Amino acid sequence: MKLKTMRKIFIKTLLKYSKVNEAPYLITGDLGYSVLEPYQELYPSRFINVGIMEQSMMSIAAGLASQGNKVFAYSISNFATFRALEQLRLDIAFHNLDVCVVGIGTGFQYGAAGYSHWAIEDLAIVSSLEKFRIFSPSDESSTNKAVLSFLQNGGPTYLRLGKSSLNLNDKFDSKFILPNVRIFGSGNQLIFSHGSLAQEIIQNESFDPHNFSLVVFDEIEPILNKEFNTLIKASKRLKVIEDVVFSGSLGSRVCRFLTENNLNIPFKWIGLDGSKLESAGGSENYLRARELGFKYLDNLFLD
Amino acid sequence: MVTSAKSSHIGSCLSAVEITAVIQNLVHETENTFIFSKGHAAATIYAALAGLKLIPEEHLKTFALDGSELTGHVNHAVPNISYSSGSLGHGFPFGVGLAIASKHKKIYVLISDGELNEGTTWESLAIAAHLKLKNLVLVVDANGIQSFGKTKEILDLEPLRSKFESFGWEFFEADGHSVSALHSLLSTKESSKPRVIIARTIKGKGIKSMENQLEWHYKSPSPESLQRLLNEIENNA
Repeated sequence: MKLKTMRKIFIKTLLKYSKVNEAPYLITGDLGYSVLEPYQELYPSRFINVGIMEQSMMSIAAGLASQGNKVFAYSISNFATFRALEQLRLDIAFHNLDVCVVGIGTGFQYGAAGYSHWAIEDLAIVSSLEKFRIFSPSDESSTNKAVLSFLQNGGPTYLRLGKSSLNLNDKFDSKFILPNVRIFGSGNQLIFSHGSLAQEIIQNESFDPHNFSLVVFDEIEPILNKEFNTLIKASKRLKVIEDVVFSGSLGSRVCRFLTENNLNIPFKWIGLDGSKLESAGGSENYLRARELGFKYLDNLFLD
Repeated sequence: MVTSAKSSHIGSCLSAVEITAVIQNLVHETENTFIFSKGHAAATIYAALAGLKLIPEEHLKTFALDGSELTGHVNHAVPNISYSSGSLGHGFPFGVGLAIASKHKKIYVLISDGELNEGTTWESLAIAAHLKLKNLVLVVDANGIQSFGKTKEILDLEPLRSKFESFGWEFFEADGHSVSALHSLLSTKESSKPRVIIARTIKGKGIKSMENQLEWHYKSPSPESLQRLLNEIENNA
């Protein structure tokens, strides 16, 4: 299936929201060509391209938010997080301001661009800032919901936007375990994932909803609830798969949950170890060529 | 404060006394905002707030002690402080955001001359001029000494006038210990550009043995010497 970008969904949601509400500020570090223009045209006083200065952009975003505004600050994931990390920490998180840091490109989405553009440690680094809510939406509906959640609740927020097809629910029904965590299927082999990777899993022909249950974390929840306890106890095995490094990942949260709740289940954690990062490659090619691995999705469905 | 806390930065605190007093008085009981970006001189802003009875004077005794909100670098948990600083190069762009969002307010930002080393300072100068933020006033506490020595020797950024003017700022220079000069420049009618005032100051101003001495970026006055030093300031006032 042809994937479209979540950033288009993001701007569509903002435009729709701003028709009936006060338009939030949208500031960019000179990125968003062919995506952000409609917002710039309709809300010129709420759109600022500050130029290529991600650090100052995040402080400016915090200053705007300190006056009671909701602010989206938009850049490529690594520039928005690593480059401006101290601004996220001191200006946004410590002051508890309503800034949504929008990071474009998750995992190897910018595969051909090389390491500078791969967002594989962003989750690790932002996870260390406990005040940040982190959304890693998997499809159109969850992207839309994440944007609206920030507009409603505010607070320091990181929104990582990858690729998306229409909706996971077009393929299978789901139910919510947490407000932004859905489960697809009823099998006793659990797979936990998030972001664009969830798209690939659910569309794989080996995904049989009678044998597998895919739990999609559209928000990387800091705390898992008791329902996970029941779910894990009723399951045969658990695999966590994500296109980020292990530190600060969803898998690290799951490990903590298993340990703290004395849950014993065969467990496989598939993520990135940070090696072999020198060659180019699109998302799919790259993942297949690595530990995350050759035929990684096929292996995912094997014992 | 710094003696009981055994904290550093008394030299920087003393260079910013008059600047802080003038700006804090200007924003007092207005909608205008003062961003104190050179957060290591926190004792000065806390003292100014106590002077205006915005925090109890009694609280100053807790400065930088365990459990106190009056942390060694400026803390927004303290009433009437809107921004926590301490890492240089953050307060100025934060003030730019404030100035964009609230054009009817005057935003004063105080930075150190060492802070001119930070890239975000120059980014902020560029974007503030580009956006014609005439409600933004930057004051540089130019005491000529930064962490490791004289600013001129570490990273000489003079002449500042041509740099600031080429960035599109209205430039002024003043004796940073002259209350009347500072007040005059800070309260004159705004132009079409953001305004910068280079306040030429003396690190450790008021105590001869501290003036222009790098070591007072780090040392705190001993309890034994405190009364003598306070008397010296009193006599010079």
